[in-house]
Amino acid sequence: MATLYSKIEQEMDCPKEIVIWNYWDHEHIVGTHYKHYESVRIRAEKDNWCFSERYVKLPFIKFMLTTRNFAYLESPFLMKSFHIGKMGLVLEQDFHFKDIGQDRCLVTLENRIEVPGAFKFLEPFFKKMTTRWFYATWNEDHPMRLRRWKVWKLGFRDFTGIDYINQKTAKPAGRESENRLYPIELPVPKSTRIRQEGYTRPFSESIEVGYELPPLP
Amino acid sequence: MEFKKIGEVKDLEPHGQFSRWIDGHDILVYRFEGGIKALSNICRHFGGPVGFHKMREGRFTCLWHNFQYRAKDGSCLDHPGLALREYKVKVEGDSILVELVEESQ
Repeated sequence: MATLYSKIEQEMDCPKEIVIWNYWDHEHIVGTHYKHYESVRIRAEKDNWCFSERYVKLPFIKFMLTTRNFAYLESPFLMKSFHIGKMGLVLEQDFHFKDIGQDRCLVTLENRIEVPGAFKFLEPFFKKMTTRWFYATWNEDHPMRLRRWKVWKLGFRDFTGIDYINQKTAKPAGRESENRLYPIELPVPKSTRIRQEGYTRPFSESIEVGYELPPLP
Repeated sequence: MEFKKIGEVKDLEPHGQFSRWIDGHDILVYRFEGGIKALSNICRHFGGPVGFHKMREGRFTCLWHNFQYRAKDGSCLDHPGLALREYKVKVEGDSILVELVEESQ
């Protein structure tokens, strides 16, 4: 047997806890990543582990496929994930999280897959494929994480919103500077029947207006 | 009642809507039934962008988790208690203004 290996590193302008929340928020898979994922279902979940199924179209493969995934958060610095695909292939992923300064973290992803020795020559393709997939989803998660961190610092509370917006009052001075740490709380609260029936994207195509316009000069 | 400029009428093109941050508010401005309305663009679920997708069939669908809100009044189809705040809107010439703080009654 041989192991195909790839490693990808990327910095992020938010605490690592936001990134961890993002990875454990399974419902966003058919929201933020609606162009790739048709459906997701959590088969079992508890505290720091989750077993799920996803129906996905990878960008370099022209058809949909089902993958099963088991992931667990070993510590605030390490998440391990196993994608089980066809023919018994298992993609093992180690996600390393490291704070590297004020509101900044480093995400390092190691990918491994065991194949018959004769297929070792596929490693360059494996590196290219895993890197391309990493950035396809990273580029969609990046603005999500930044925005989550921004609204969090403004006082956002889940299933509530921001107080001064809801109450139509003035924003408290210095609200963004208040020391409001972001906790790791798993499992992430659910708003759908993702555990019972799964969660399917409402549409596969959209006219995207996008995130906000630049500030007024 | 102080109104602040959020954008210009031309910002509504070509999609009939836009969003912009101003003074700690992310506001979704859009054309609806012959007028211009404004809602909070911050989904009350987890804070996602309500106006990321173009309005369809009188509804906005938040990008992150597909929460749906009615353009008519910001009410939430998925969780009735999580309506989006509506902002009062004024159009002066080419400028669109919104009221961020409303006087308490």
